[in-house]
Order: sequence, then C-alpha cells, then structure tokens
Amino acid sequence: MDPGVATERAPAPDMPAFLAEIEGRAFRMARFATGNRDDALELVQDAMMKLVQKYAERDPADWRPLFLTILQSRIRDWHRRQSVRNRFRDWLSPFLGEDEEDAMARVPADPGWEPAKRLEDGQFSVRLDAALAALPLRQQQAFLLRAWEGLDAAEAAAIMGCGVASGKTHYARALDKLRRELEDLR
Amino acid sequence: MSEGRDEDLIRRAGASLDRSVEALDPATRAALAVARRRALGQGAKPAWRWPAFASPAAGLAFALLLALGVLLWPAAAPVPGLTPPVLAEAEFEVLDLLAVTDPAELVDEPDFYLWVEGELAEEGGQHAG
Repeated sequence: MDPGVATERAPAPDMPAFLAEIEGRAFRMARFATGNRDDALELVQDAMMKLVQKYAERDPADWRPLFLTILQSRIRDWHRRQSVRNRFRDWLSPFLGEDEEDAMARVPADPGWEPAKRLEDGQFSVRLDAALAALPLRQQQAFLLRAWEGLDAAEAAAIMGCGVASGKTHYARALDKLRRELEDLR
Repeated sequence: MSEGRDEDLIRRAGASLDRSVEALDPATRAALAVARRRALGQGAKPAWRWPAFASPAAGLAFALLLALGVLLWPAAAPVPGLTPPVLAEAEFEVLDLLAVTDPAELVDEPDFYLWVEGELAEEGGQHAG
C-alpha cells in the first residue's frame, strides 16, 4: 500500500457479520420498548451508526456490550421524548380534536411480525409478547438483557446505566410479573 | 422450586424470542439490511429528519404555552420610586396597527416608518408643549 495515499477507515471485516447477527434481536428489543416498528428501526439504525463510527476499531469482543449500551441509551432517550410529547398531548387534548385518521396513525404500523408462523408456536409466544410489552421499560429491558441475551446482573446493569441492585430489582419484578401472567400456560 | 420454574420460563421465553427474530417479515428484514449497509458505509450519516419536537402539534403547544405564560404571569410588585411606563396615544396607535397588520407588510413599506416617526414626534411635541 502506498503510505502517501490517505485511506478511508473501513470497519473491521467482522463488523458486517456482527451487525447482521445482532440486528434482528436489537429490533425486537427496540420494538418491545417503543411498540412501533418504524421507531424501532430508527433506534437500531442509530445504534449501528454510532457503533461503526465510534467503536469499529475496538476489540470485536467489546462490540456486543457497546452496541447494547448504545441501543439502551437510544431507547431511554426515545422514552423521554415520548413522555414529554404525551404530556403535551394530554394537556392539549381538550383543544385538539382527534380525527379517526390520527387515531389510526398511532396503531403500530406493522403487526405483521406476529401472525401465521407465530401462531404455530402456540399461545405462549403471543402471551409472552403481550406480557413483555406491558412491563415497565426498565423491567422489560432488564428481562430481555438477562434472560434473552444471557448477561449477568453486573453486565446488564452497566448496559442499562443503573446500579446492580436496581437492575436486579427490575429483573426480579419482571420475572415475577411474567410468572404470574403466564402461569396457566406452564 | 421457584428457581427451577423460573429457569423453565426463561428457557421458553428465550426460545420464543429467538423464533420471533427468525419470523421477522421480509420488509423489516430489508429495512434492517438497509440500515446495516448505511451504518457500514464510509462517512454515512443518518438521513436528516425533522426533530421530533418540530411537529405541528408541538408548535401549537409551544404557542399556547407562550400565550398562557404572558396572560398568567404574575404582575411584578411595584418598585418604590419606579413609575411604570405609560404609553402615549400615538404609541398605542402604532401597537394597534402592528396587532392587526402583518408586520412583514409594514417592514416593506417605507411610508410606515415615516408615519410612525411623524406620530411619535407629534406626540412628543404635544407633551413638550
């Protein structure tokens, strides 16, 4: 290679494979958190962008926790913005008539990830999705990180940006609620 | 016992979530692939979007808040020795004109400035006299 020629910094060769492997799971996490396909896609894209731009040269072993940390941060930001927007919406609701079109716009854009194939899995998947979606954000994400991603309490807490004790509490409460919600299917 | 049951729940939940990823619809898979390619592209930046707070509803909310703030802001306690300004009649007329007319139209109209200057000068003269 000619050292005098400036080369663009390319992502490490494994990065495409890493993103391809994690994107579906990341999308499901973001989808549970937002309840909205488009917002979930945007959060996942933002997290991918940041990982590639800032951390592509890090040890590939660091990519997963870094990516999950970025994604969790994006999810929290999304929820903060949503909270502010909802407060305004509630406050303004007496002044703003909501027509049917607006109401429909709030329905999740693509419930299509569920139906036919998922129904083959029986009621458990459907009930699990509903129960997870109904959990408070921190409990929901704690459960996904620990039970699905297989992280330990300290790793999950670091990624969620909370203390270990707090993370454990979120996880325990999530487990307790899911246990009760799905009791009849066990 | 509860721990064993939790392990069973966690195992089933994990398997179910794995299947949900495999069952993602083609449109979502395609969108994720586009996002991935965009992230991997050199110097790629996310497509610029209006910030979430710039929606029309947010704009209306802000305007209403501003109006409420102006209407409900508690009147300042009078400061001893400080007389609040009193608008002269000519100043009222100028404000009145601004209130009912699009300011952009007035800004482009040189006669407006002449008129304001004349009105205020006349008012000043009356007060002086």
